[in-house]
Amino acid sequence: MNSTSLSKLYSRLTCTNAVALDADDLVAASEGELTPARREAVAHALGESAAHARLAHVLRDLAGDSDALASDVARVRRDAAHRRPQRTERRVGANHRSAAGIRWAAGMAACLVAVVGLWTLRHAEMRQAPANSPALVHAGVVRDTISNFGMDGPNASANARGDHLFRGDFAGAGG
Amino acid sequence: MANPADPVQVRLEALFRTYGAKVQALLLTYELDRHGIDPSDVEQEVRIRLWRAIERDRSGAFHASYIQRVVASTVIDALRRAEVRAAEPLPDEEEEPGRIGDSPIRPEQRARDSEQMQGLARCLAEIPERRRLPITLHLQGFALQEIADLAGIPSAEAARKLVSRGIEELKTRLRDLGYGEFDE
Repeated sequence: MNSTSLSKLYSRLTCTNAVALDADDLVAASEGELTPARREAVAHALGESAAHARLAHVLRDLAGDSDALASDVARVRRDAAHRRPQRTERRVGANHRSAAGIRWAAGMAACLVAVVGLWTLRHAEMRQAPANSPALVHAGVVRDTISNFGMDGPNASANARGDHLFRGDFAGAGG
Repeated sequence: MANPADPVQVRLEALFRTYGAKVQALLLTYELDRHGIDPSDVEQEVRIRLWRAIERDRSGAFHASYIQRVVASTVIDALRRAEVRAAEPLPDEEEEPGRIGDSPIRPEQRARDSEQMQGLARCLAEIPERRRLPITLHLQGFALQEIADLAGIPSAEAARKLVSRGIEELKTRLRDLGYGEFDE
């Protein structure tokens, strides 16, 4: 006579039993860390529900893999956190270098602007100043009237006023 | 969910994939698929929940017990959904190795199963509670130390004695009531 497996028969008997077990209870049960207050209720629930009992077995067998996964995730995060400051340092170094370059270029540009500004100012003064202006006199650009022989056209008389020594001779007016 | 360009995400994805495969294999090993859940769906849901947990708290600790809770809650949710779908009673595992509903159970077999299950339930109910709990845990596949821990029995040896006597008593009752011979 064939004998029936009690375990299989009981599993079928309890396969549709719905029990109210939450994840915390199941994890605690699989880790052997049930509180005395919950132990009896959880034990009865596991005894009466094939599905929850099987899930408890899954969790028990999975404990090592969950440990390994937690460690691996922590290691990946550590590696990522370790790489992050290095990237930051590289970024900071690059920023320092580029800032120095910018400062040097800005200094050069400022110098260039100053030189161009000074030159422009000077040039404008030279253009606007009259020929006998103190500035020109000071700069030594007043015409040398010693060599003024009346060859400067109709405006020559105005310019020749500066040298009285020769004006009488060349004006021919008895002056 | 992982950015393929990010090596950290790629490494995490590989870890979760390996872990998910292990979860799926264990669900199949313990035949939780016979309770109306799809192990591949559960595996995928576990990975999604783990990703969400990582994204939610990038610097927080990722403890093993938390991972276990994710698996437990995912399977419990799947079982509840299966209950809502009103799963059929499980077929006899020896006669129907496939999934539920793969092949019909013979009417006489179903009748005999039903009779034996009623007899088992009746005989268990007659056993005093102190001895019944270790028996039911044993029939659900828990080891002696686990039974001791769950039932608050001082040692595995004490649990073994309770289980051994209880199973013998159960078999005797079933035989005396005409349900035939049973093994464990």
